[in-house]
Formats: sequence, structure tokens, C-alpha cells
Amino acid sequence: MLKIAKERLNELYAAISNAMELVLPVKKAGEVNFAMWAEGKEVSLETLKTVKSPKDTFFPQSENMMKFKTDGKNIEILDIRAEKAPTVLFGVRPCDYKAIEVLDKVFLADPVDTYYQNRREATTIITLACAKPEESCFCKVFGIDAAAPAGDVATWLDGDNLYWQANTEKGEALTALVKELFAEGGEAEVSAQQEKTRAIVEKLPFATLDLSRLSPKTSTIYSMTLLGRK
Amino acid sequence: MKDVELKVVERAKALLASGEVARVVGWKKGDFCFDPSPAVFESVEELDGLVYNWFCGANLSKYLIEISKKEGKTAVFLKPCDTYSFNQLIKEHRINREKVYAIAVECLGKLDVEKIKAKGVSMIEDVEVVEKEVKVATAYGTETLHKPEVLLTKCETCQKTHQVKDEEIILHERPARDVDRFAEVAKLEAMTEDERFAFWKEQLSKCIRCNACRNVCPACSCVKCVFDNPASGISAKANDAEFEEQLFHIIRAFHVAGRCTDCGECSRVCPQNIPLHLLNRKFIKDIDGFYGEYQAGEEAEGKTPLTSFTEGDVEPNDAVDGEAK
Ligand code: SF4
Ligand code: SF4
Repeated sequence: MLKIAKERLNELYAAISNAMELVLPVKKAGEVNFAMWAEGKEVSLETLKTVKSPKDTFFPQSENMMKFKTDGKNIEILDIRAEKAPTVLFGVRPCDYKAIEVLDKVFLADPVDTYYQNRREATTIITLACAKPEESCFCKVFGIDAAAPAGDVATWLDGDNLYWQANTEKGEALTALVKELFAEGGEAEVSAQQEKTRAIVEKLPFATLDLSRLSPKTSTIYSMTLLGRK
Repeated sequence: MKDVELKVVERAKALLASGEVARVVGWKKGDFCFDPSPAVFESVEELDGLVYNWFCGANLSKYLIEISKKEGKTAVFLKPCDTYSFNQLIKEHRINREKVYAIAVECLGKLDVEKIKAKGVSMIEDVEVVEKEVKVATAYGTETLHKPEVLLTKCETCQKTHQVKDEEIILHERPARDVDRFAEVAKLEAMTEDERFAFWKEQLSKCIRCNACRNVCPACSCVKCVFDNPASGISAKANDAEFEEQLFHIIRAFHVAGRCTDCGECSRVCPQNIPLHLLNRKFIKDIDGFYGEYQAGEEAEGKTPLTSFTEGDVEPNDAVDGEAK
């Protein structure tokens, strides 16, 4: 595990965005949403939930999908897709990451949505564990551990440091790029935070939400397909 | 507040039980103490779920457009601000007054849970207000906040009084206050054009076109909105082009000009916290300046500045270039 002091996060952002596009929670006119990083932007990793989820990175609310060229009665369809620039999506919460896995099941399955695939493959996802879940959180019911997110890289934030753990090859490659900014260590701090977070999660009002309220069919889909449970 | 809620539930039950009304429109308990939502109650048992607390900011007037078409009378609870929307909808022949029994309910200002959470308070279990102190009981302990800082924006400058009442439930008088609701508008007017453009661009570019502002707006009651009508050529669901950022909101502000009662619901429901009420307030301020003071919804009848003509009316060019009188 690696760690970096909170005050040095701007250096990390700068280093990543030197090599790739960096998208992370940014405050604009009072609200925090995922947006492209640039020097001077106000990053807010403390915000538990952005107003909109990071889904826009893969599914923009609107986009030009193709162009048409008409010549008399002939219509030519022009493929205007550009390769997506390598992108790092930073600060994705455990539940939001699970949602992306769910999207994958649909849009990377046959027939593959190539627009989605293009963006998904070009993106390295850095998740951020939750330290202060709120009353409306119900991740536990869906089998998501708020304290141990998946993702190419998982991170944890406390008052002093950001802790960093690569989980995949993509994550290792990104880590190699920025490694000199980090020091080794942080296992004890992360374990301590995880223990605390899991204790809070147990006490959340929706921790025992009854999924049988969903129709039998939907709850089967959730328990079998999405959560990998029996 | 508990005493008011008890009275509200008691009256609702009596009205339904006696058959005077066929249904009651009020607020229903949500998942938490801070998220009650508008609801229709049709039986005395259902009314056990009726709440009236510090988070009942939602305006119930617009629901009456559809509900008052039903058989029998409908009882509704109206806060001071809600009564203006109610009156305006009667003026526009959207609500049938005869079929509504309006209960004016007291309001000492409603709280904004987003503002409470922005102060770092989470896991809220209960809220109690004593004078200017808001005591928030949370799983992490009790936090005391200053009420003026966590009021809904619409309540910060409210000086409204009930304009409609078949009966009233007022147990505590609200002290009269003197606030300038145009102060924020004046700040925008004092900016240079470029600054003002930058301000609105930054705000409006957050818009995700969820349409919540339009859907909640009592003045937006067209049967088919142009923005939902593919035949209009301007229907759209996404906010990406310049047009969406700027024109959707400006067209809407023009559309409701002279009819907007300043109920503040647009800003309350906006998930991106865009201060939409400032656009509408600018129109209200200009109407006041050009045609003399006018408050939409104060009356259910009579002429309105933008739908009547007098020889003294401001000339279009003066209205564009000139300062309001
Ligand atoms: S605007 Fe006025 S009447 Fe309406 S909820 Fe706020 S304080 Fe109450
Ligand atoms: S409520 Fe806010 S985000 Fe939604 S359409 Fe209106 S301005 Fe846009």
C-alpha cells in the first residue's frame, strides 16, 4: 500500500493530468460534480455523493453519434467516433463503482455498445472508500463494502493522507506513472478506518432494507446476477 | 410545531369523517424526518401518516389542478406562500374554487435539509426548533444551528400572509419582518454585463434538464409544454448546447412573468441549486418599476399589468434601455 499527504494531492492531480485526462469531483457554483481537472479547480473528495453520478464519463447526457451525408437519394453514414483519450476517473464511491459493473454486464455483453466500450477501455477507475456514510446509504443490502471498494485502484482518505492500492493491471500502470510522489505504508490507518466505517454501516437505517419488496423477478436478478450471490 | 401538527391531523380526520370533504391534500411522512412529500389522503386511517413539520416546504397548490376535477370537495393545507399560487391558479381558471376547502396553516419558515447537511451534519434523527435555534438530533450527537442559516431560500425573504382561508390553524403568530427580497437581484443588476453573463453561465451550465423546476412551478400548467412537444422544434431533454443553458430558463421566466408569485419552488427543487428564483424576481422587480407594485396571487380576480393596457404604459424601448421608474 502507498500513501501521499493530503496537502500534496494537487501534485498528484497535476502528474496524472500531464499524462491523461483526469476527471474527479469538482465544485462549481456551489455544487460538486465530476469534471475535468485543471489547475485552480476546487476538488472535493470529502463530498460523499456528487449531485450526478460519474456515469456521464461513459454515457454523456448527449453526444453526436454519427453524421449523414445525403447526395440525391443516397445517404452515407459517417462514423465520427474518435478514440477516447486515456482518462483517469478519480473518486468513484464503492456504490457508483458497482453501478458501472452493472452497466458493463449490459453494454459490454453481446451486442457490445462500442461507444461505451471505447470509453470504458480508455478509462482507469480510482475508487474512494467512504469514511462517513449517510443515513440514506444502503450499499450493504446490495453486497457492497463501503470500506473496500473495487476498481483499478482503490483509495482511502483520512485527515492526513490518501492511501492507494492498485488492484488491476491498468491500476499498476497508472501507479508506475506517479509512484515517486508516494511513500510506502498506511495499512494500519486503512484497517482502522475500515473498522469504523463498517461499524457505522451496520447502524444505518437502511442496513436491513428488505429486498423482497422488489418483485420476485427483480430480486432474483439482483441477488443472482449482480451480486454474484446464490 | 407538534401542537400544530396534532391540530392539522385532528381537523383533517374530522373533515373526512363527517363527509364534508372526500379527500385531504397534505404532507406524508417520508423515509426520514426531513423528507415529507405531498400526498392525498382518502381515509381516516391513512391520515395517521399526515405530518406537518419544519420540512413541509412543498407547495400543495398545483396538485389541486387535477385533484379538484374529482368528485366531491378536497381539503388542502396552505401555508402563506402557497395561497398566492392557489389564487393565481383560480384566476387562470385552473382550479375550481368551489370544490376546495382551504385550511390556512401557520408557518414560521421551513428548513432546508441540504443547508443543514452542508454544515457537516448527517445521520439526522430529529429536529426541534426553539426561537432561532435549530437542535438537530443525530446518531453522532446533537448539533445546534442558527435557524436563519438553514431556512429554505424562499423563506429567507418571505413576508407573505394568507390570502385564502376557509378556516385557519394558527397557534403561534409569526413576528412581522422587514427584509428586502430584491437585494440579491440588485446585486446582479450592479454587475457589468459580462460579469452577469458569467454568473448565469456558470449557474445554468450546471442544469441537467431534469425539468423539476418546470414540473413543480404552479405557473407552468400548460397541458402540453413546448419543451415536451416534438412538433415544437425546441423540445429537448438534455442540457448541452448553449441554447439549453440559456434559453430554456429565459423562455420559462418570460412565460411565467406577471404570473409568478415568487413561491420559490423552482429553486427549492433544483438538484443543482441554481438560484432560478432570481430570474423570476428580476421580472417581478421590473414589473413593479414599470407598472407600479404588483403581487401575483394577491387576488383571484382583476386585471394584471401584462395582460391589460393603459396609455401610461412604458414604451418598449424605454423598457429595454431604461431604468424602471
Ligand atoms: S415562503 Fe413563507 S410561507 Fe412559504 S414556506 Fe417559507 S416562510 Fe412559509
Ligand atoms: S430543476 Fe435545476 S437542474 Fe432541473 S431543469 Fe430546472 S434548473 Fe435544470
